[in-house]
Amino acid sequence: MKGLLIKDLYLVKGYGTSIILISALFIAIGIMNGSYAFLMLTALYSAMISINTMSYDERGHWDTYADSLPVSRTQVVLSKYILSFIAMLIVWILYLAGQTIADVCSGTGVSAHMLSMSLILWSSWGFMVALLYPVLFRFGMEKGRVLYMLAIMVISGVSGIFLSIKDELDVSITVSDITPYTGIAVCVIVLSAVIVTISVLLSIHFYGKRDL
Amino acid sequence: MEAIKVSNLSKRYKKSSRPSLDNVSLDLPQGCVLGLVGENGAGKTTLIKAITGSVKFDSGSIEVLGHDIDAASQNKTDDRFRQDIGTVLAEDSFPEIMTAGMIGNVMKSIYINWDSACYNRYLEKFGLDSKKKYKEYSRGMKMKLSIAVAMSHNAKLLLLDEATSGLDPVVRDQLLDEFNEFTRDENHSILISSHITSDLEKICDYIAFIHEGRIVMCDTKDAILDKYGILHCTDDVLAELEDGAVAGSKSSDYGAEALVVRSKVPDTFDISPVSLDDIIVYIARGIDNSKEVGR
Repeated sequence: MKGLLIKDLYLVKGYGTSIILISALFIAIGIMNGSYAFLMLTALYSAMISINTMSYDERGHWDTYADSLPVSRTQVVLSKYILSFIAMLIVWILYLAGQTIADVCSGTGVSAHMLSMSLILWSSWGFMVALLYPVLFRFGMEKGRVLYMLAIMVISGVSGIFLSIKDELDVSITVSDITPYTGIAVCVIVLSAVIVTISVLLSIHFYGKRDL
Repeated sequence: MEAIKVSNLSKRYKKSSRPSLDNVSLDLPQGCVLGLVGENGAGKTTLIKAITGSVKFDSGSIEVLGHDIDAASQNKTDDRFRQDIGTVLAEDSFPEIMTAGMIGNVMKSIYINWDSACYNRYLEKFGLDSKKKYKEYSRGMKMKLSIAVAMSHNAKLLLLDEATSGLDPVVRDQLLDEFNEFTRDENHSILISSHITSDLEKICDYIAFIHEGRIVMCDTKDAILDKYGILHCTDDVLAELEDGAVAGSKSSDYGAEALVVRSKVPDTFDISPVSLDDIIVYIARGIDNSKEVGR
């Protein structure tokens, strides 16, 4: 597993600077506009990091070669989810840092808006990973590309809807304002965790049955 | 003990008109080199992929270094025995933007017995720049890199799929020397597939000929070369030979040339020595001709 993650990090390293810059830009725009859409795009970007490594793997026939190594297909699948999770974690930390700086600079103190944004960020990532990865592990990058593009279009559309309602968002809400919604927040987190777990199990099942 | 034991292995891909592997059985004794020979599409790569676990077989069994390969439950198998296997595939094996140095670092975390010093020695010996990207390597260099990886973790078994194909004679000779060196240890075994039979003649103890998914012939190299010979004669003389004497033949205006089983041809005939290449060509032609006659 460690070797697989090191390999993927080497692949990401090639375009790592651009990932960080674009994520930071989207986060900054998201914070300045109070827009969910740009943060959703960073979540999409985190999900895409592993997809890019899958593309490199398939083009270099690494998948077939990895079968001859002392690593299982389960480990191969898990490494992709873990890489994407790490990317999402970095994006989230960047967002928390950015939002905290913005709140402190504006003198409003740390707002509860951060929690709703974080929930949207994580659940967007969870749904995208849950939707895309099993398809790609089942059909491969080549065949799964059409479905992948379709999913991107759907996600972009949803982002657009969020973007159109951004003006109605109240970025000055406080923790006490959202306390009654804690239950909903927990449900969203649990639901995301459940669908990602199902997605992992499906990916392991599909990938385990494929001829490479 | 057998390094590889394949029994009654069958595999048919979806949408394929014939099985890629049809009841294939072969053994590779430990300490030996087995050459798998056959034309393109004969099933060599499918067999090697079935052994590595990349291809799920329909029936039969595979035992590698005493460990059963259960294709149906790839994720449940104990993968530790793969520590002792080195693989070189016919196609690319590494993502294009990785360098030999990066690949070494990855393998260090995958193989318990990874020997970085040995790997670096191979890189130097093969003239591979550790900072150059994989996509910038020529095919020969890519093969050398795969071989360096396969031989840098104290493997006991090498699986080599077309490892020498497409390479110039100098590089091929260099690689064959490496394989010969590897098999000096009596616990080391090699399964090598190729359609360059001259390479196989140089290093193999056993030869298995696979044709349209079936093992047509599997024996020691010397036994195969001793068994057959080339006979030049007329078509009439050829027709008079006993059944099973002719394994394959071709006719021209100047007479017939046939691959014959020496023991079934009278001593009075002058039979020439035969190369492995000729044996493969004639036997494949004989099988195809008999199929056409049967139609």
